[in-house]
Formats: sequence, C-alpha cells, structure tokens
Amino acid sequence: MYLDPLTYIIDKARGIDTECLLIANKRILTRFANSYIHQNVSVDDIELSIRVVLDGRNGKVSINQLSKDTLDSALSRAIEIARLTPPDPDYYGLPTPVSLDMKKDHLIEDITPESLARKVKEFIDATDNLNASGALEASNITIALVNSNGISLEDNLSMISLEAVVQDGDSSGYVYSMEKTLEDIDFVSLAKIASDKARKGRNPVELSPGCYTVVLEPQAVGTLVSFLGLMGFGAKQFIEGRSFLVGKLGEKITSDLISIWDYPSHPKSIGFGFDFEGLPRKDVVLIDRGTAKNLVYDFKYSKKLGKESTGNALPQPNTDGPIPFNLTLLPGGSSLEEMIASTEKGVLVTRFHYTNIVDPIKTVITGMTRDGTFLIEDGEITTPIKNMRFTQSILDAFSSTELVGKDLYIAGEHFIYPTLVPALKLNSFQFTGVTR
Amino acid sequence: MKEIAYMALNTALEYGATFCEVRVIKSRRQGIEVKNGLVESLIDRVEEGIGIRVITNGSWGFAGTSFLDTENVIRTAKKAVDIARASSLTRKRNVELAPSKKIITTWNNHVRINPFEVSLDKKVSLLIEATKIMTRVKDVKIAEGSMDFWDTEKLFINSEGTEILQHIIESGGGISAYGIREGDVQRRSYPNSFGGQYETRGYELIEEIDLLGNAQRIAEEASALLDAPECPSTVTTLILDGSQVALQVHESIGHPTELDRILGMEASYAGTSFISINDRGRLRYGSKLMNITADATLPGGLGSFGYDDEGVPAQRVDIVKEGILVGFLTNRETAFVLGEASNGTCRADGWKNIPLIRMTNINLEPGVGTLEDLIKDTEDGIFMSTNKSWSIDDKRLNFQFGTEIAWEIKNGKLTRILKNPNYTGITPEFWDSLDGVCGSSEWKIWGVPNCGKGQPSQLAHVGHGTSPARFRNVRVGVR
Repeated sequence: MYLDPLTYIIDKARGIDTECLLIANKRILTRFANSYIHQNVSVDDIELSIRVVLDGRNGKVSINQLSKDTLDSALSRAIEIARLTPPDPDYYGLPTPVSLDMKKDHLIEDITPESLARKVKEFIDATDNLNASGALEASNITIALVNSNGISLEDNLSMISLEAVVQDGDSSGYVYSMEKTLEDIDFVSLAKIASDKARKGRNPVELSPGCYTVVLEPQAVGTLVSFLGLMGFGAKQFIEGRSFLVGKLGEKITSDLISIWDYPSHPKSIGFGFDFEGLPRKDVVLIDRGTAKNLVYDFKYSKKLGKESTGNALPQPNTDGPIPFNLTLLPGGSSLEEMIASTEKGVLVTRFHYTNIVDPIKTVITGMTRDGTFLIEDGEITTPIKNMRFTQSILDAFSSTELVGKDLYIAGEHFIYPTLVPALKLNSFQFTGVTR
Repeated sequence: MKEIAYMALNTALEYGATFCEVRVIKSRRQGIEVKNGLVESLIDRVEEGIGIRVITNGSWGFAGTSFLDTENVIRTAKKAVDIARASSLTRKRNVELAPSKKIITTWNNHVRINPFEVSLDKKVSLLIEATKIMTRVKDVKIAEGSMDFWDTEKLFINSEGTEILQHIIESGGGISAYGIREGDVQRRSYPNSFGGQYETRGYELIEEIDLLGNAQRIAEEASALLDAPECPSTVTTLILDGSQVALQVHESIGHPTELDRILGMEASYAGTSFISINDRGRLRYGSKLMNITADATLPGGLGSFGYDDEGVPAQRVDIVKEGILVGFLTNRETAFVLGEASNGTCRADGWKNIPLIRMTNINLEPGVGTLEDLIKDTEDGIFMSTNKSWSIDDKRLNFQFGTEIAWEIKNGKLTRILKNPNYTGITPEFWDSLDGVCGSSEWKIWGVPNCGKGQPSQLAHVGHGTSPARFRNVRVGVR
C-alpha cells in the first residue's frame, strides 16, 4: 500500500529523474527502572522523501503526511530546490532495477502493550528483588522505494529487543537480546544472567591502569567492530583520505584470526534486502584473516571508481558516502569459559560505555567499561573491579588476538547499526584510567 | 491544531485517563551541507503529529501518530490509556505530579531575520565561498560548511486547563577545514565543531558569525597542525576556551544533576549519577569560583523557551553556588519527590517522544578578566580549544575530552601549536581545581543541538553560557 503515493509522485514528475523513499515505523517501547515500568510509548510514523535531479542538481523534500495536496506541494518544492542548487559533477543518473532476493519479515501483529508489560514483569520478578532497568522494544519497519528508472521495491523488518541492567548496590549486570518474536527471548534466563553478574560484582576494587590481557564479551567486541566501521570501510572516506585503510588495502592490519565481513546474507543479520537506492545488499569481505581486502560502495562511488555497487547506500544525497550495515566478525572455535581458563592474569569486560573516536586514522577510541568488569587470575574470575577507561587502537588490539569465540551474537551500539560478533581474547589492551 | 488536541484530550479522559496532556506540533527543518564547493546534502523536512501522554491506574502511557484524521487521533488517545493500564501491571506506587499553575498564553522567540525567508541561493553561495577559501590553503583537502534552521509551532494542552501555543525559530551554522597529509588528518572548525554555533535566533546569527572572515584562519590552523608536535603526556595547568568549557559543563554538571538520572530512571541506557538526592546543600562540587545556573530565560540561548513540555514556565535556578551543589534539574514527577514545584526542564524531541528532564541553558557564571589576562597569569600550561571527542562514565565521574587544537603556554604567552590534545579527570576533583573564570566580555551561550537521552533515543537542543576557564594539575596527552 505504501507504493501508491510513491508511484503517484513518479508519474507526476514524468521526464525528471525522481526517487521516492518511504520509511514507515510502528513501535512500542516499554521502559522500566527501579523494577517498574516508568515510561511506555507507542508511535506510528512515516517519512516520505522525494528527490528530484535536474541536470545533476539535487532537490529533496521530506514529509510525513500523504494527502494529495501535500504530495503535490512537496514535489513542487523539491523541483524548486533543485533549480537553485549547483550541479553535482559526479551525478551518474539513478540506478536501474536489479533482481534481488528479499527475506521480507512478517510484520509483528500480535504484540500489545500488555504482552510487553507481562514480559517485563517476568524479567523483573526473576531478578529476586534486585533493581531492574531496561527497555523492551517491538518495531515494525516498512521501507518502500520507487524511482523513475523502474525500481519499485518494498520490504519489511520486524524486531524485538531487550536491553536490561540489573543493579545490586554498587554493582550491575547487563543483558541484550534482539530476536524476531517475543517467544524467542528467554526473559527469565536473561534476568538470572544479569542478576548473577550484579551479585558477583559487589564491592569492586581498584585495578591500576596499564596494559592487560582482556576477555571481551560479545557486547564489548561489538563496540570495537562498530567503531571500526565508522572509521573507514566506505569508498568515499577512502578517496577523501579520511579512512584508516588508506595505503593499507592488501596489507596485513590485524591478527590472522580476525575476519570482518559486511554480511547481509548471514541468517542472523538484520536489515533490508536492498539499500537506500534500491540496489541489492551484497556480502563484502572487508578484512580476510587479518588482511584488508575491500571497501563498500554505493551507486555514485561505484561509478566514480569503476566498481560495482555493493548495496551500501545511505539515503541520497548525503555527506557520509557508503557505509557497512551488517558488520560481522567471523567466529572462531573457543568458548568464553576457555578464554577465561587460559588467562593467567587479565580483565573480563561485559561491555563498554560512551565510547568515542580519538584518532580515526590510527583507529584509537576511548571509553569506559560498564556493568560487570572482573579480574581474571590463574584461569578464574576472582575479583570484581571498578570501571576502567581504555584508550586503545582497535587495529592494534585486534593484532593481539589470541582466541575468537565460536558463537555469534547481535551486539547493539547506540546510534550505530547492530553488529554480529563473538567474544574475543586479546593479549594487549590499554587501560588509561579508573573511575571511583 | 486546537480541535484535534482537545479531541484527543477528551477521548483520553472519557476512556479512563485521570490526567492527560497533548502536544500537537508542526515543524520545518532546513539543513544544508556543502563540501569543497558542492552541495552534498540539503534537507527540507516538514512534519506534523500529535503526542498524547496520560496517567491511568497511577501509571504513565504515551502514544503518538502522524496520521491526524479523526479516527486515528481517537484511536491513538485510547491507545495511550491502554498503554498506561499495561504499565500499571508493575506499578509500585502511583505517579504523582508536583502542582503547576493553569496557564493560557502564547509565546514566541525574538527573530530579526526569518531564516526561511532568506533565499536558498544566498545560503548555499555563502557556504560554497567559505569552502573555496579554505581549500586554497596548503594541505586542506576537505572543507565543509553547514547551516541548519528549525521552525516549530507547538500547541500544549493538559487536563488541568493549561493551553500554550509556542513558536520557536532556531538557527545554526559553521565551517570546518581538514588538513590531510601522509596518514595524518587534522580538523579545525569555526565557530565550534559539529556544525558550529546554534541559537534560538534568526538568520542574523549567520551574518554575525562571519564564516567568510574566519575561513582562511581556521584553514591555516588545520594546515599548521599537520606539522605540529603531539600534545605532551604530563600533568599541567589547563586553560579551556569557552566552547570546550561548555561541553565540560554539559557532560560533568548538566547530565549528573538531572533528577531522573539521580533517581535511577535512566540507569539502563545513559546511566545514573555520582550525586545522590541527599547531596543537595552538602556536596562540594568544585572550587568557590564555580557558580552554575540553569536558565531557560536567556534570550537567544539554544536551551531557551517560554514554557517546557509540561506547561511549566521557563526559569532561572541555581545548581551550584560557590562550589556547593544547591539544585537539580526537575520535572513535575521528580519535583514531587522533593516536595517542590518543577523548575521547568521537561522537554520532548518532537511530537513522537515523551518529555524528559533536559538541560536548558546550563551556565558557568562569568568571573573576571579576559582570556588574555588568564594566559598572562599562567607561567606554564596548555590552552585547548574546540571539542573533538568526548567520553564519560555512566555515573559522570571519569571523563576524557579531546580538542582540535592546543597551544603551549610559557611565561604568560601562547607559544607553539600542539596537535591531538586531550585531557582526563574525575568530575569533583577537576572542578575543585578551577582557579580562574573569565568575565562577561568573554561569556557566550554555546548551542548544543545533539544532546542524546532516553529510549527511544531523543535529541535535545540545549545551551551553555561559558567563558574560558583555568584548571590546575590536569592530566593531559593521554595515550
């Protein structure tokens, strides 16, 4: 049904390069803190963007109303803007249709605020009177894209995610789960994992900053992979000289144990079957056993550089260029328990907090540990430790990889696309400070 | 607007809500981004929608929709009530709100030049010219310029009889130059990083900040940074420019004094606070030179408004006085816990989000003298300018900030440029080392348009009135 207003615009703009992108989002988010639901919201929204290109001049208008008058007026305004905008010398036209295979989720119809609230209650009850906080979110997203070259596509994505922190006085534990149905999330087990970690973390001691072996649980690995994704796999960043991969394609940049793909075809990957220009998402090997291999491309940068689009376009036009949407660090053969058991002295990190880029070329980031940081001694978790600040090059850390986890988990990093990652054991990781 | 707002309010009350507030918002945003003489992005977004928040069975519920026909608005109002009923499955106690006066009024900010009446051509030409000036400088490979404008019309009504129509126009703009050579990338921005300066003003702001007049200077600084030595790793005296003090205030004072964080309501996402509710009047936050206010009444501040999104009037309140914590940022729900009235900091990101406690303009009140005086009075130290990166722990204690540029200070004078400067500290220790705050002539309200909080994630427009300040014994050059 969402294709109708888009087709109307394309017909009305006949003779002009036109692209319409519609994103419809229905979401319920139940948020809890201090072991009760304190915020509970449902939103039903759409955004329709109309982009016209006149002799390379882009004009774009976004609206969230679909009446005929609003559509007509938005198209007129987009054309008016295009007339006032200087031409883009790198405009290569709009993409043409390419056949693609979409997995199209079934939209979640049966979830109600009450069913979410009952699951939250189940989680809270299973924490044995510890302090539970978190968010349980169900969302249905529909994307529709039509352009004047004949692309006409619609896809759905449905997700349920739980993010929760359980506090026990001065300590806390964390769990994150993203699934396709509410039944796929085991709320009781997750509550027990977070509660157990919170209890074990009581009375943390201070560990001196320095270089340590670390065992990173998947959520912490997700932060490193997400930030690496921000710093240089896109073709535009690369040709602008702002990518850490400049001068390094084909070279060894991490340990042989590290392979990172943009991996939309992986069964656990979350995303649409096409990118924001309507081209199919492709698997791209970015780092193969430590060697930097490829970049990701959208239509414009594939044409500019004589490559094929890998289906990594953001909504056009934009300043960022193509980015990877489904970063996946390929699994190894170790369990988390084996990583801990093989560590003479090290730090177990549940997740990182408020991470930010310090030096994008050297892939240096800084952030804090959070919700469960422990000292490992002689192969066992011995002591909870106070949260620590790290300032570390991601590539240097990955160069010291000793073990890679055998299971992949979805890791969520705020404001960045989720990643698919295992746990890692790294032999060199720089902690530069400690909090109280 | 009014008709659908009251339809929603009446529906929710008839359906079982004991309290209801409704916001109907129409907004327009224009965003222009130019890189190396080309327009790379131009956003022109118009949207409208309704947000309905209710209390039923002593719990909160919220529903919003962009579909504004009668049937959908009624369905959405009922959905808000159903959601509140669902919330009450885990209720521990009834939500209670601090009292608020019934207000019927309109409010708009003062704008000299409506930015939406300035031609697109004029805006684009200015940014293109600025980027051309910057790319003429040696090693400046990327030059960017941007402008953002918002026009928001917001009707608020609640079941206590309040009806407020506000119209707020905001403007922002800035430029950045990237020096790039042999694997080194150095950025300089003006008047601030991450998009420049933002205020609740019109296009007059863009004219005043003089992007063309500053393009050459920052491009030359970006180029010079490529040849500069690294900021040394040491403990020293640190002077921060006003824009970096603003971010320091934002992260280490603004967020930790939000009462919802202190009460654990943001624990799973942004975190909590090192401050407890009993610290008011007792906690030494910093030195006696530290006077912090929250002031939503300052003309032009990006965190200024007439009324917050609970219909509470904008206010000026003390947060830290002579180094002692004396206040929190509150809304009606958290103020009730204190037995006080809300100090009016509850705002939502558009119609689709619930209002949360958000910073207004959180200010370090001015001290005395100029930046020149402060540098002259410093024998040995480092002056850092313009934020590049930020990070702070979930209790807002351990922070690390990077800036775009620094200068060494020797015998009261700025000497060589240093690249990749950063500094780290623990919040109360750092503020306790404050021993100089410049005066009113250097004081300016810096706009931060991207303050993130809440789930679903919301962005707020906030401000920080600050002037350059000096801190002693700070660890810099963390590597």
